[in-house]
Amino acid sequence: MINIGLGHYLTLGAIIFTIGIIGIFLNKKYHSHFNEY
Amino acid sequence: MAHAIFFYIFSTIAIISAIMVTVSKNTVHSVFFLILDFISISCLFILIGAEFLGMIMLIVYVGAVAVLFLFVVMMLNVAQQKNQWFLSAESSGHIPIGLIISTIIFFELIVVIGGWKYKPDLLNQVNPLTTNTISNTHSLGLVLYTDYIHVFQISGMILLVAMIGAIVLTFRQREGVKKQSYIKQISRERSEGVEVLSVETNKGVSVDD
Repeated sequence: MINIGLGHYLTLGAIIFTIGIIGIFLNKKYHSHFNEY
Repeated sequence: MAHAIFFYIFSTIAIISAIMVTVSKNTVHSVFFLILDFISISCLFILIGAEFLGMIMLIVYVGAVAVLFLFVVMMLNVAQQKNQWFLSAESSGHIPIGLIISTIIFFELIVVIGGWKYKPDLLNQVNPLTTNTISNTHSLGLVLYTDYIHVFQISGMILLVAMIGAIVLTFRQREGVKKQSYIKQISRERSEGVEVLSVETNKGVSVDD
């Protein structure tokens, strides 16, 4: 936990990437709810 | 130790702000959190020793792209709400969240730039991913215009083509706009411009244009 290596940074990148993908689908769902697209 | 503490602080802020970008209802708040996320990521880049990438991230993403997003979102909102953005009491709801985010950004920048400026040995001691002493800005400057000049120029040409393509795709020929036409002006003959009429006395001429 104390020694920060490449794995920590890759994990952080994976988490933020996942949040981004979830955000795309949330955005799509939100817009389809209001029939804007 | 210090590297781990800073890593966990910045990564926590980055993850929380990334979640807030997706879940916040207000688009202006989303852009604020996006800016906070960009700055946290650039602080992480600086922490890992990639100070060139971190600074480029700050300049390009925070300085240009995010501010452009912010302007576009605010302009769209202003257009939709018919100028009630500045008049109604709703606009004051942006001030506390903006203050919180700007305070966090300010302290992040103080931590990173202060540590980088006044304790440069901290970066070298605790950084596990860089082994050589030469900074990566220096090494990029050594190879960018010498070994990789063709790749660099090709990428510039691709960006130019993309820019011209964007202009061509979004260009619309507008109707009803009077413009100067050089071809018409040059190809004009004397016979088109001047017409000799035989006018009878006391009748006058009817000009139909």
